[in-house]
Amino acid sequence: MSQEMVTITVNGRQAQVPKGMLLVEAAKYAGIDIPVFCYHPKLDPVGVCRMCLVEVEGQRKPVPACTTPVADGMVVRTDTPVVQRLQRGVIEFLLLNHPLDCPICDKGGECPLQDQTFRYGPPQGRSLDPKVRKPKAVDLGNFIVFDQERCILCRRCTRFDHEITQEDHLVITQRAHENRVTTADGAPFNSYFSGNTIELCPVGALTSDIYRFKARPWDLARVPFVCTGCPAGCNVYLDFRFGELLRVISRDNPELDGGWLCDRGRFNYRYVHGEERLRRPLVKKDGAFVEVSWEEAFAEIARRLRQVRRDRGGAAIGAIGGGRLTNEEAYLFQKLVRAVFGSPNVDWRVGEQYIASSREFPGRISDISQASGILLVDLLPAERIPVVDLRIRRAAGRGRALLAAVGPAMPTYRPEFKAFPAREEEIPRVLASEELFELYRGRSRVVVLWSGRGRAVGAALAALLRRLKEAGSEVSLLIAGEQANAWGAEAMGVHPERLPGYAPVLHEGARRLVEQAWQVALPEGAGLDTARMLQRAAAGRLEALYLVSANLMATFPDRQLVEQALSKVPFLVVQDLFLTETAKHADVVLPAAAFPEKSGRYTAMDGTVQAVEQAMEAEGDALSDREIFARLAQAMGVRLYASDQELAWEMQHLAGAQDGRLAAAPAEMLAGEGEEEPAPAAEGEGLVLVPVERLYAGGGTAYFDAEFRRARPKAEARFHPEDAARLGIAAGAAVELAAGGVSQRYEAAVDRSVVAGTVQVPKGLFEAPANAFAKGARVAVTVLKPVAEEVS
Amino acid sequence: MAFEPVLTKGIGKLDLVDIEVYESQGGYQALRKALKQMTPEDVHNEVKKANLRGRGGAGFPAGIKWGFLPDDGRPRYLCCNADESEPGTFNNKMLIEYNPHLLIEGILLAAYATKAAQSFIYIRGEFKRGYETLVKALAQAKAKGYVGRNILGSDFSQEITIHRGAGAYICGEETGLLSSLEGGRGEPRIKPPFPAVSGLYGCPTVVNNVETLCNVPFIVDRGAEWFLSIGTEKSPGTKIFSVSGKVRRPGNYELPLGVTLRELLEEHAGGLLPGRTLKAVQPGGASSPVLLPEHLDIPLDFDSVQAAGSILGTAGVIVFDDTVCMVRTALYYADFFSHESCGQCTPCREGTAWTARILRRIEQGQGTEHDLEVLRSLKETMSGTTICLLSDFSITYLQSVLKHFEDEFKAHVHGRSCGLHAREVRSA
Ligand SMILES: Cc1cc2nc3c(=O)[nH]c(=O)nc-3n(C[C@H](O)[C@H](O)[C@H](O)COP(=O)(O)O)c2cc1C
Ligand code: SF4
Ligand code: SF4
Ligand code: SF4
Ligand code: FES
Repeated sequence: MSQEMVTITVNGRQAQVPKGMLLVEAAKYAGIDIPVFCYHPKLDPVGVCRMCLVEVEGQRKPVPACTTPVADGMVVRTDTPVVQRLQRGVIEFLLLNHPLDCPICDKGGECPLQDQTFRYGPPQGRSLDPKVRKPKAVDLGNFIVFDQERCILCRRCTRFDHEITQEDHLVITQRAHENRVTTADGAPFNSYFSGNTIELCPVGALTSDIYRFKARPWDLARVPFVCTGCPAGCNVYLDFRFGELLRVISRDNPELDGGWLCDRGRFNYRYVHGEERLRRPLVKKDGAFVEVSWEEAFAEIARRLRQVRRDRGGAAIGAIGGGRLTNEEAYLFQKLVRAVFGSPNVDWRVGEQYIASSREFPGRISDISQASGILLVDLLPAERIPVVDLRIRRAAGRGRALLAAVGPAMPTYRPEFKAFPAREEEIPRVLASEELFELYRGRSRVVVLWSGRGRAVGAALAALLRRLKEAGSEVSLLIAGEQANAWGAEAMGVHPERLPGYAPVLHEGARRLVEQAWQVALPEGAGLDTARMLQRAAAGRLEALYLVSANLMATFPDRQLVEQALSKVPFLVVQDLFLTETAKHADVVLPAAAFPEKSGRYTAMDGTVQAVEQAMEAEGDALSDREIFARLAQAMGVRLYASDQELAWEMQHLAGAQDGRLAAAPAEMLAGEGEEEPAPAAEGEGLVLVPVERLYAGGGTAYFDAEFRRARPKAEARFHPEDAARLGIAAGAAVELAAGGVSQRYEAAVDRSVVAGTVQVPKGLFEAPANAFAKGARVAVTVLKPVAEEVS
Repeated sequence: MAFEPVLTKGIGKLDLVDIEVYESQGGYQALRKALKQMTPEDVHNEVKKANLRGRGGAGFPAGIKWGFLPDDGRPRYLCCNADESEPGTFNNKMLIEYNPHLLIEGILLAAYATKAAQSFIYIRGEFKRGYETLVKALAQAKAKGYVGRNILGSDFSQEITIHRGAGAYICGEETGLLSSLEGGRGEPRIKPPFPAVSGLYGCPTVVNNVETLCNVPFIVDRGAEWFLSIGTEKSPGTKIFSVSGKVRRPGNYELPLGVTLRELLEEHAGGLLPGRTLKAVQPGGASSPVLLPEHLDIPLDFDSVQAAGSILGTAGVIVFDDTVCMVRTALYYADFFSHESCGQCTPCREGTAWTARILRRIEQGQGTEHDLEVLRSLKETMSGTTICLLSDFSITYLQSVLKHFEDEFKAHVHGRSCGLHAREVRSA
């Protein structure tokens, strides 16, 4: 669609610009910069700071360039004495009571107020009055500290919070010079997106509690990177000072993040240097871990695995993990297992997700913004892929896209959405219903986001999407992985039934291709998936387990099974950043590099492959997973790959990527191959326990981060108001949930968004592991203490 | 010849709040006439012909404003601006409290003419008595079938919702009023778009002042010709002048537009207090620049007052005699505006507070020549630079007294008493 163009003249220079464009943007076409404070290209213009006033021929008064659309023939001047006087005036006003903390201000050096004062401001202030003092360090929430003196009331923060997140935590209160930014009803500003306001703020008023007073911007060394917190694949810059990671900020990628980050990605980085990082390999001797050298650790693993292979065959070894690795590492992981350990048992799946991509219904994250229908299946996007949720909110908020959610827990949105509460086992039935089909039928662009949990759900989704496609819709299925690079791991063949590039492991031709490339014979048959490896191990029929960034105690839905497996398996290797609950069971613990310490490629949830270069030296003796795999293979007498080029060639040959995107899983994988888990028996008394993801709950990176830890959710059980009333539960009461011999203590909360008849608890909380309960358990609720004790 | 008041006729003598009394004086006859004999266009045309200029301050012709409403299928709204908060202005208050049915009838006629789907009265929060009166009157009007569905058996239906403000002057600015009415902060919006195109809930909206609307029943009843026969050629009709300050009989006086300032002050407001001389007069509320004794004979109509360097504004006439310290008056207003700015626009939020701080210092004898220079310069950065006119308002009066009473400012600056009041205790 070609845009109608108009001609404008700015300071005598002509330019062709799209009709209706805001003057502030259009002036750039003529090479003219108009200074702004309140205007921001990602926010609706409000025209309050008055910094952008310019003269337009035929207009009596100066007009704000940020709210004025261009018209054909418009003649604009931004350099007249009048305009310059107004610019000086606005800056003089803004500086009247500004503290000029520049020497100690986080923003100093990258501060629009400084820069524009330098360029447009008056040479001298004229005020004779002392500056008005205001609060300097107001804690607005978990991560944001507000310096009210520095605030110039541009309202970018409140507009972001209103327009982009639609959460309305931040408000302007009072009138006139008493105007100030605060939170609605004094509630904490604990949005998952609060950190974006720091970057939007044109002064140093909103600061990061973690980065505050840590560095001068010009001293920071900046490295472009990709956030590895989730499969949204947001782009970031990592800022270092003397090799220390001090800050994470956004690096705008319109296709993925749209310039935003979530607070997990932005603030959960200090663990990289954390005390609790594993820095040396550990070997358990007489029940206690002893630090050893890498050589010793590798020698021990090699010795034990060779022994297993000799005595029981490679198939007695299991290997789990890969969703947090780079594509290269994931590839090498499965190669190590298959070619060096001689085992077919390798699986990336550490939780409930069974599939990470879908070739039949391709789509991109950016499609959400164009969607006319969005369907969420068994997914709380804000908790798993937060920045993607911002697109959903925008699309639904503008009334453009129909939004519906199916699943055991409902998301919260300001715009209306259709809720289809359904227990996990009921989801396929809802997906097959005519009601749902009719809802989306005829919508030109339908995007479905799904957790990837439940083969029956996958099959039902495939059927629904095919119908919609036949009815004329363009249909995409985006699967939000539990781990950041689930797609990469799956595509690289970290899968018991699939070789690299999804080739079926039993397919003769495919096997030959791999065997030729690797110059080894592949182990016989298909491998065991994660559940079966654990079952075997628990039954004493697996000799060794190798876990890579897989804290199964927290992630796998059946904690008892994991516990049995880990205690039973004769030899356990854990490769991770921290001594997790899982790692404590290990015989050998290998300290792996954290994300900034390694290079490689990550695959976002729409298949976009993004490369990063190592940004810092690894802490202690930690090694990248790639190096660990290579050196372990070496210790076992095999060279895993000769050179980076050879590795790249091999990966391209077996699991080729195209146009920067990895291929997705073929249709039959979605439809559900392998055996389905038996549906949980959810009949009987009590509330159905629904473990839900919480953005800050899961993962060692949150738990082992001294500066992020405080934001982690507490053990909280959420009840629907009706259930709470019936059971006599008040918000804040201490309750016990019990089922099948397991009981856990929670603090009660009452929340309308909880589906009646269910109780929600956070998933992955180390303090109260929800996976200790059987899947779909019905729990008995006992009130221990009617109202919570005051925390003193 | 004693002038026969129009809008205020009967006030003080009859209980016009009682609908039967109001009806007995010909009340609701205009409505009856319009619904029986006139199309909405007829009513609109009559108001246009009468050149009824807005009484809320700007003097914009109501008939022309109504004509800006686009005909695009969106519902239209009518808002009566009853937020009257301008210092020295209290004519709306009187009309609401003593002649509420006139306002209701005016609203109904305006709604009829503009084909409004629904009407609102946005009433100043402090007008408790006015609010109660209106609620009562509205209930009576409803009971009598003047408000509601199929009024007087016609096809015309209209509901009137009364909304109380929460005490902000800025909610009298028409777009601030709309933001507040929608439930948001009372913050003016950028124009264009004007309310006529995109107002309440984004729909075409007319905002008119109480007094403007109160004129409509008479124009409909007696015709545009009659209306044009009162007042001046370009400012027809009457105006209720609210006179306050140093006069013997402050109060509301309804007189034909074009009455001279002298007549208003001397014949109606009882003249100055004994032994005083006139120093200055603000003819149109807090923001209007001062007129001087030499202007006593100018006619009070929109154009003549403007020609004399001020504005008729709200016709809140504020009189200063020789006992008044002009620095204090400026400080008083500066405090008012620096309290009432909504705070969105940098020049207004910061400039009003700065003005007040400087004036306070000057008033306390701690000002300098530099301060006077700064105050003068603020005209350039605070006028015509903001979303609404409050910023301009905050500076116009000050500029006029800085010009005409410079000596009083200098007296304060140079540490001598201006001789008009005991100096505040100075801070060290
Ligand atoms: C700061 C400010 C305050 C105002 N306050 C009032 C008010 O209290 N009442 C009023 O009728 N108009 C007020 N106005 C004018 C309104 O914006 C609007 O012009 C008027 O209500 C239109 O009515 P009219 O055309 O009938 O005069 C104010 C304007 C400004 C800029
Ligand atoms: S916000 Fe900018 S101008 Fe203000 S103190 Fe910080 S660096 Fe200086
Ligand atoms: S805190 Fe920053 S972003 Fe928010 S209004 Fe103040 S200056 Fe603007
Ligand atoms: S000029 Fe003043 S009152 Fe008007 S919108 Fe701007 S800040 Fe608010
Ligand atoms: S940038 Fe245009 S008014 Fe602030």
